Amino acid sequence: MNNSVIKVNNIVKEYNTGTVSVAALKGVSFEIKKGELIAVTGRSGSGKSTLMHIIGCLDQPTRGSYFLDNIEVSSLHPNKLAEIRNLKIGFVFQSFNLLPYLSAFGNVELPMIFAGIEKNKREKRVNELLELVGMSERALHKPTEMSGGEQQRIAVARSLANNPEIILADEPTGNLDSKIGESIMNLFMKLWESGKTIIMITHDPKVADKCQRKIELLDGEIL
Amino acid sequence: MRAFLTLFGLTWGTTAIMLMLAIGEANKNMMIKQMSYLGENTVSLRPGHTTMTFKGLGKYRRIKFDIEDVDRLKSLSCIDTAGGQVNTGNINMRYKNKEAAFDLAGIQPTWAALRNVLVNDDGRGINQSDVIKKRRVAVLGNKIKDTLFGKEKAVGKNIFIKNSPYLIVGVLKPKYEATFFKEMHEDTAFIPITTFMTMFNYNYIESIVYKPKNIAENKQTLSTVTHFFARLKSFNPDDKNAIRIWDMADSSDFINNFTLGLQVFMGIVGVFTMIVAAVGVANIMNVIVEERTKEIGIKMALGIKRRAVMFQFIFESFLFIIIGGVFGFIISKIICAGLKIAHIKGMGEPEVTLYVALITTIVLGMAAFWAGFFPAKRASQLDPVEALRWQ
Repeated sequence: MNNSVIKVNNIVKEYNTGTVSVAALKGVSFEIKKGELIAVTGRSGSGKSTLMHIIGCLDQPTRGSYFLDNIEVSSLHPNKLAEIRNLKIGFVFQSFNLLPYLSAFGNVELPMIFAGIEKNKREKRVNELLELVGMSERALHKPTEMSGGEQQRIAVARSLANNPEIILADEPTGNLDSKIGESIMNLFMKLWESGKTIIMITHDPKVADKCQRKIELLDGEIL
Repeated sequence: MRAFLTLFGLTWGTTAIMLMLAIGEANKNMMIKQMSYLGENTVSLRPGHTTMTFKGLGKYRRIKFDIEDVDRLKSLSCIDTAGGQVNTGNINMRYKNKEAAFDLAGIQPTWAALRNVLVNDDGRGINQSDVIKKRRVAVLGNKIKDTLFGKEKAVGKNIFIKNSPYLIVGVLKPKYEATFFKEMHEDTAFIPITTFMTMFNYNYIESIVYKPKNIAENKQTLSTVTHFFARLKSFNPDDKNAIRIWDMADSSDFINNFTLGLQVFMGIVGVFTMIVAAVGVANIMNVIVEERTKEIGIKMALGIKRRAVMFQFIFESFLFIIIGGVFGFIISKIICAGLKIAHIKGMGEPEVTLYVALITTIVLGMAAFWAGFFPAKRASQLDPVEALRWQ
């Protein structure tokens, strides 16, 4: 195959609500190449989140195929999916989703613990990543002691822990004011320039405009 | 608060199991010890009365043993040794101005040996020469010595038994407190059997105790002995009331079964307490899983595997139960030490032995696994998308 990291073919996702089944995605197909910066946009209820869950291997499609890094992942065992999430995907969430009882250091270290990386290698990598996002001095602080922008920087550092192919960011600036949001966007731009494939789920036109390409969803279909 | 109550339940459950097993064990050991004071593998015979007609002789005939019966019994090839005894209660004994009533027994030295009647080192027991010469010598039970002599030395002194002077040749060693068996001798004075029979004008003796030569053939020996006396005293060998038999081997079987039953019962009470506590832990773990759904979702997004989630929760419930178990263990140790000091009658000396600790550990381990498994399984099977949405 070529250099596509994500290849989605005719994906359908249906939810059963009692007797009626509702389709959140109605046959979506697209391809994302290595090193692209993509925005997935659309109004709320358009199927953005469902698509993100499937791309992020948190959920599986009802029908259709999904190749991630040339591996068909739409029917893998949950443990295999966990491994893919751990090694190939880095998540950044709107509400940061840091573990409150761990320090910034501990949060960034977590995906590497799940990957079974040795302690000294982990420490070295965490320090590099905290340096990259400009949070070295806050290493021992808990999330509650940090601002929203700082927490999102830690979340970005965490998403990079196992050096994944793809960064999947779900409204990464949604909970931040515009100035801080911009600094986070700059951080993503820096990562993109260094060669990462980044997919941003957003309904903010300013964020979408900074991306190379837009995939716009409406009622579960690509416009 | 919830965690505290559950921990309390676990501690209590552990303590209950440990103490019940420990007390049960102590009780058994105590009974076995008391048994051994009565003489291991000995058989005691007491004459009764017939309840069957035999060769023209009627029912309700009294059977009697005389002193020569002991020697006749000894002459049987299956008998190792035998000894006779006769006794009476409420006999006045006096030393200087102190007096009180006690039991008095006339014995043969073989009887004393078979019944583990032990004399303090500063004196001696009744010997064969005392019996032959009908000496007026006495061995005092330690309680009699304490009552009449207090701290004063008794050996070598004279006391009056029924107004006749006796030289004290020995004092009994204090035995384990009697609870289960009456015959503990601490308030009995022993004199030679011949002296007793002359003094009270007795022609017959009260009981004979013997030890078989081959302990494994105990039952056969007993049958031989019964038939021997049946021929000698003319009664039906099948007549169970003619001679009343107390076989120590039977008693030790009874004690073993009795105490095992007691331990099983106490153990079951403890195990049930433990089950209640384990349900508490399961409950609390379920609540913990619920409270931490979001955290599980985040970890799943970051790539934690299902079995790692499961392990985490099982580990936490083990931790709970181990803490409860350790507290329970410490409390049991303290209570056992306390009971030892308090020395409660009939309780023995409860101790947290290896056996007790092992059983408790097994029960605890099972409880922990059972309590942790289902909540952990639930946690590991959460849907990552649902878990991430959890607020």
